[in-house]
Amino acid sequence: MANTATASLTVSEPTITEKTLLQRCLEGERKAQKELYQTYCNAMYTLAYRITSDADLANDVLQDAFIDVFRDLKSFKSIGTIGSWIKTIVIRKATKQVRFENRFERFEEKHDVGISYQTFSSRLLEREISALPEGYRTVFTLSEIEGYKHAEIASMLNISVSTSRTQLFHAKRTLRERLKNERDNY
Amino acid sequence: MNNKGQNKKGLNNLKTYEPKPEIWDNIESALNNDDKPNIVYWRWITGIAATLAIIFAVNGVFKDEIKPAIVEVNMGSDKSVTPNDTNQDEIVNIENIPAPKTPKLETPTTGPWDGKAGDALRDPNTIVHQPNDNPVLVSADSILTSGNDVTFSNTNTVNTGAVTYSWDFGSGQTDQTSQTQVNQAFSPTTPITFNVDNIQSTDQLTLSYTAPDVSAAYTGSGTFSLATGDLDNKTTYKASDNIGFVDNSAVDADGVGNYVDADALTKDVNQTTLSSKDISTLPARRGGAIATHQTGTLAATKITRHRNKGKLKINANSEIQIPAKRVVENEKYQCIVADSVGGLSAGRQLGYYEPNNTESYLPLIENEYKRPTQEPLSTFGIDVDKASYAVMRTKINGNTIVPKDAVRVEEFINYFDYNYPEPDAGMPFSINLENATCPWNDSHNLVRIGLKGKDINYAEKQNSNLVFLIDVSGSMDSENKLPLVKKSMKLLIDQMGANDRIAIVTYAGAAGLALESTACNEKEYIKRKINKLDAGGSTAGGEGIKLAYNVAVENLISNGNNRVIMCTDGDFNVGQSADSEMKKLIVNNRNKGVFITVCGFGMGNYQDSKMETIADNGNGNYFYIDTYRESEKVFNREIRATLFTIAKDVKIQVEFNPKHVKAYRLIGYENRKMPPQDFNDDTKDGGELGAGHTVTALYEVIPGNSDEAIPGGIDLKYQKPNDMSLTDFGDEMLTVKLRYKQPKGTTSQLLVKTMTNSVTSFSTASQDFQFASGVALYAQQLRQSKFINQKDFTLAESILQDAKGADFNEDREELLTLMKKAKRLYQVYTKE
Repeated sequence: MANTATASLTVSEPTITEKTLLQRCLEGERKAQKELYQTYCNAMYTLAYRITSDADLANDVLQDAFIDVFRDLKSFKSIGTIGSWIKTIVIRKATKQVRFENRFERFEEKHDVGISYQTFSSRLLEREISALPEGYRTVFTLSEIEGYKHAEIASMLNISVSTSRTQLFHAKRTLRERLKNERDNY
Repeated sequence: MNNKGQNKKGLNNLKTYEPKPEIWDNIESALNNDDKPNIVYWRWITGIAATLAIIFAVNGVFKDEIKPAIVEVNMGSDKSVTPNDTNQDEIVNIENIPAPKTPKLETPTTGPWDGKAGDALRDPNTIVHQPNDNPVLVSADSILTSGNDVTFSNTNTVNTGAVTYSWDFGSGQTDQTSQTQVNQAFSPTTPITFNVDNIQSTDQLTLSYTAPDVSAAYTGSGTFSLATGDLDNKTTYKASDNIGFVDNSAVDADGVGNYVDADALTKDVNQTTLSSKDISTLPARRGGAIATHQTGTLAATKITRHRNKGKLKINANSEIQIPAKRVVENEKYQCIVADSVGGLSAGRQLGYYEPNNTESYLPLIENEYKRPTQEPLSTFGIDVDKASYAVMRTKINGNTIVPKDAVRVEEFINYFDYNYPEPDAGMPFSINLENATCPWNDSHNLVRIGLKGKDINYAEKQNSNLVFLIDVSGSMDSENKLPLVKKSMKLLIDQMGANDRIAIVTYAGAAGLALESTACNEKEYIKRKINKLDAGGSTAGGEGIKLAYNVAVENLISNGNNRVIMCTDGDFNVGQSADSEMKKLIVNNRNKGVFITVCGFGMGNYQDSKMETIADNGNGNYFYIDTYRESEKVFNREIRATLFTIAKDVKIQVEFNPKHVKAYRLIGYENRKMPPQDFNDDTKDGGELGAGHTVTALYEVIPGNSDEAIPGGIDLKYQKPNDMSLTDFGDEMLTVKLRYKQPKGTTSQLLVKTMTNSVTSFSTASQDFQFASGVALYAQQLRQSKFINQKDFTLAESILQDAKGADFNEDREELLTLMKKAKRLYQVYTKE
């Protein structure tokens, strides 16, 4: 259960505490809701920010998503974790803002574009990822950072699996070039 | 599922961002509204001028000034008035009601019962009831007043069946608010009463009715004009006139604000109205709220922020959202039902929201009058900070009143440059004394002490070793923060010479050295580094400040300017936040020769008190930067001058001669005062004076021959108030003593200057004197000084207008503009 200081969430079955917390949230207890919010807000905001690349938009997404979360909490069926459920809502809200570029550009994926991320500083990575075009960035975030499969991404974003692949390929190619340029400049 | 959360190798060090703190508030508000679907919460700042005006106007004008009345409108040819026994209110005969000020009557183009507006109500005397026509007749124009009842009764033949009345409130838009009342078995003895709540004075009302018992369903309608409430005449209200939403008992122990139910509120808040226009001119406010409206058919509203404008925009929708940023500590936010469509609003405050506020200002206690016989010495350290002025500007420009503790009068005065003469050769500064009549109190005098620091030749200046300490935490991620910091830094870099050094330390989750100390001939490299700064993470100010000091000390230029320049929004969340620890660190480094300058950026998270503490203890100064213009002023002129401190630990001690001074009051400098014995104590910190800087202090003085009772003064039993037996210094009114140290010195030097007791009239005083007085007056009014007895800013404005000088001066012009805005903003906020 790798969990790091990044936007990702620990994936596990709901713990007893979490279940109690959810129960209290369902009963409309504001304190519990705040606790749930505080548990996830940074990760969710980071995700929203990566997708939208705009602090204001990301705040809006976060706000709308959590309002929906609390309103629709009763429909949460304990399938998967509350975290991934919230995450789905955040992604849905966030990707509404995103337009996909080069959508119809078909690309035969011959080989994976390899990038050895660890050779770059996280600050640089951060900057270059956020500078990717919207569609690339979204798919890159979901696939490379959040670890979703193309089929999942495709269904979340309502795009085809091959579009998801293509976007990722372009994203990585663009990113690799930019990182390389950046290094050459120094 | 389990691959979620697994990062690809190398991407697991990406940082986490933080949302804005108010997002939870917004969510909570939305949820609260789910729980209480009939309530709209809308926060606003109690006491905000525009709103109060309207609220008071409506409450006051309609509730108190115009006596409640029942306007009886007879239906039918009989025009007699039917008293309503169940209502004790005065009953006004329709004939006695004066004509509306601006009757909005239309001439009917066809017969009386064609349903045209203005028809039946046009003129009771000319309407002839036709027996075969619709039996319901409304017989008179009326003046309707909000809060009153209007009663309709029918003296005609009784009709059976239901009669439906509906009101159209406002501008004749039939799709708007309406009340429908069905009177089953309508009879002449059952008058129908309409309450005219929630109607704006300028609205035109329409009454429509249908009587289905007639062969063809007739519809008639007419218009009424409301009495003009004359909102404009009701512009002055006392600040103490609280509307009654403040319920201190409702504040949680955790300090997070509560919504208070309407029912918990005491005063009648049912009849406030706000139009969409009114709402749109309200100041921006923090946090989000909110939801549906209260009752009836009022359209719900949506209020969104105009981005970057701080104004609110209203759309017809079901939610109100107020995500703006300006909050004032200790102000209550309240909630209003507001309907925006067509200018009609049903404002009903349902409670207030007290923000979980993060701006903080230390409370200031105004200096009292002192008698020279009791306290002949007045001692203080000079203050060259100006941040308080910029806070005022931001507030006023945001249509918000200025929190009184945020007003430091001396910082207002010292915001402006004054043309004091250059110091004599060999002296670090000149001392300029002036004494003239006090403009806001003829029987008092104002004494001005003005210092001007020696200007230096920047080409021959000392070398600088600057360490920028930049807050790159998530809260800095908005246009008026980090991007402005970067611009500001580049401005300063351009001023630096090849022998100067610059380093950049950032702090967020962890402190880091973003730029090792670098000579300033590599400007492009430095600027590239600056461009790379970006915001994210939480703040560990303590760690950052330590690292910055270490870098500064490592690169210490002896006889140079060694300084940490801190750029932050003041949000020290983590680490060495405790003020005392921070203070120790700053003082230690000050003794090593590293000073600190603090630049506060942005609003919302802004912790004024903490930042001033830092600057005060570190021989530093402190700026508040809200715009690019301000940044130019600070970085291009102020910091450059500040970098070249010509004197440090500058303290002023004034001794007043009781013969000529009955009492004196130091205006401002409240947190710079020190005990008299500290004046000669070189270990006690004073203020720094930079090259070319001016510093001004004003005393309001009650002359020795005045028989005025000293405000707040206590009479002595054993001393005569003006016993001169021990002193004979003739005309000497006061002695100004000044202590300062050379920038690197440890022992102070003393300058003494005396002033004789001669007063010029205010109009012949120097222009600088007049201008400083005007600024002082304005600032004292903003901080609601008990010593100022002015109803509005008229006097201050005219002083400044006259004294701003013939040459265009951007700063002075700007103050006048701000004052005009403040005048409007505060007109409902006038002191008693």
